Amino acid sequence: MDQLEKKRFLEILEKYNSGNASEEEVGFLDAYYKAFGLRADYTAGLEENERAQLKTDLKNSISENILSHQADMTRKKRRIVFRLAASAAAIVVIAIGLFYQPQADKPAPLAGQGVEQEQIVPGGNKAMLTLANGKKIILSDASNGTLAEQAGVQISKTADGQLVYKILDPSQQDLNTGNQFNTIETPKGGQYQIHLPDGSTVWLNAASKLTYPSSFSSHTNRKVDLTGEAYFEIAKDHSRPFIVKTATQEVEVLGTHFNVNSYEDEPAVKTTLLEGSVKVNTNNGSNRILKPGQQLALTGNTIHIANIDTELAVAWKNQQFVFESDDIRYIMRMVSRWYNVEVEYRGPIPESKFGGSVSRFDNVSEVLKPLELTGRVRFKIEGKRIIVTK
Amino acid sequence: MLTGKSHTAHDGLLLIQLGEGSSHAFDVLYEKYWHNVVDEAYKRLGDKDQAKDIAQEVFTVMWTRNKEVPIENLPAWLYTVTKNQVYKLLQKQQRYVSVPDLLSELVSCSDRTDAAIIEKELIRAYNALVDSLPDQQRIIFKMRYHDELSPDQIASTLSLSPKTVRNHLGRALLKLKTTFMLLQLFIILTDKY
Repeated sequence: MDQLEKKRFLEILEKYNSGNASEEEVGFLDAYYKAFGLRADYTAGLEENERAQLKTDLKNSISENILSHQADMTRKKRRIVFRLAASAAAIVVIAIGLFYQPQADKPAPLAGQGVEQEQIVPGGNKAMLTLANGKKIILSDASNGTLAEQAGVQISKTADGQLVYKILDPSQQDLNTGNQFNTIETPKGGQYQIHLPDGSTVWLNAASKLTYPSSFSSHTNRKVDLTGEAYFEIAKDHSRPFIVKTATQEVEVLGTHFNVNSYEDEPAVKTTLLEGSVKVNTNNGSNRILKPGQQLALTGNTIHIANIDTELAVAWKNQQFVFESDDIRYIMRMVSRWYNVEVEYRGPIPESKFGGSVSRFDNVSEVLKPLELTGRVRFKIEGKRIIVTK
Repeated sequence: MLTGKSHTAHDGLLLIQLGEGSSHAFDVLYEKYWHNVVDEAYKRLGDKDQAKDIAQEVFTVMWTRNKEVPIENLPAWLYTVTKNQVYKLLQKQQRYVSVPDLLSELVSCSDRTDAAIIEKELIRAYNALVDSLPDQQRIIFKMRYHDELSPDQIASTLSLSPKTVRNHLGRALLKLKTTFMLLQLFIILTDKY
């Protein structure tokens, strides 16, 4: 009997979940659900610390859930726009077709792929902030410039649309110890600008992570950990040097502007100085002092210093992709990080060097098209994958 | 319990701020209601991790939903969204706590003043469900027990196979039996008051 009852119950559930239940079935499920309400509360029976842990864990998983949901939504929204654009283009093509005889089919590798390209969108202001107490806060484009205030943290939008977060009162966050760390992390396709408590500003590029003390006041130096890429404008404080630590080196400064690119998939860690002076200490004990306009590349234990156009190194911060005589693999690594796509090489890898510049907020095809026009490389987009051929 | 909570003016204000993207408003509402949602889900599922998963989903919906449709009553909204999530999970996991089991559980809660009302409502809703049996089943049932026709006679009258007739009768009988049992339980319960 139980089996049959169960079968019938599950039939009703299925109807309810698909919105097809009758009035009586809905009424029954309501009363049935309510009848469980007399059972004991779960959270009331927990110890205070277990309860607090559950509350924090749950909040963190909600934050992560929301972040991934928002990424999906952005993708969907853009897809709609592209779809509209695509159908407008189709109408134009048809209209032209009525008046002109189409010319012989020319290969148009990117133009014919509108449907698949829809899924690839440029990055935006996205990051996850993990406070010293383990609390995770999602930082993304708040609507209408709304300011969000967490305990001791203020999130605001600057005039140029950058999102900035600022520690208001460090004492609120760690009353007992100055030795606690916050982490701000961007996903692929995310970037973020941070104002640190000492007045320094950091621009964090995509797929990067910065860990720093929630307050510098009790430290003899200002030390932060970086993976990925960031541009630093460090507030002057001669009594406390600012140190950027990456896997293979430390950059020590007193007050200056510089960029550190330490992506794991890049062959060299590059430190580029725009203003002031920095000292780079490598893990194997070497050190070098850089002058403005110089870039230090650390490959394994090999140090190479060159005078370069620093604008190239910080173009990303100014929302540009700028290449100057760069190989295709380097360019595609940047594309992959910013558009959150996989890159696949089929056949021989094009060996040519490429130059050019394009806005980071453009559709990925705007980045790829000029490269294709050189005739030295071809791209094919399949979903979230870009296939590179010669 | 969410059903015992009322929507406050402060909730309304926070919902407006939430609609404008305020994560502070979200945090305050989470702080106020997180345990209610976990508790509601836990009571139906009896599993901490599943209750957490449901609560995660409910609060994600609260943040990501289309804010153009206002929430008039937040506790009621949370209750309904939690219920729908629980029912989705029960269907997915093919789980069922039988109505008689649930009723006997209610008997043991008879110290709660609302237990009797909840029992009454469950029995009423269950009977209404049984009364809404599909027409064919009802007709067959009537022919068999009111007009005293044999299953074979019914089958030929309605151009159905005797097997179909027997299946319908079996199902209707089971419903009746359960209802009858519930009614008996109901009588026992009402006798106590």
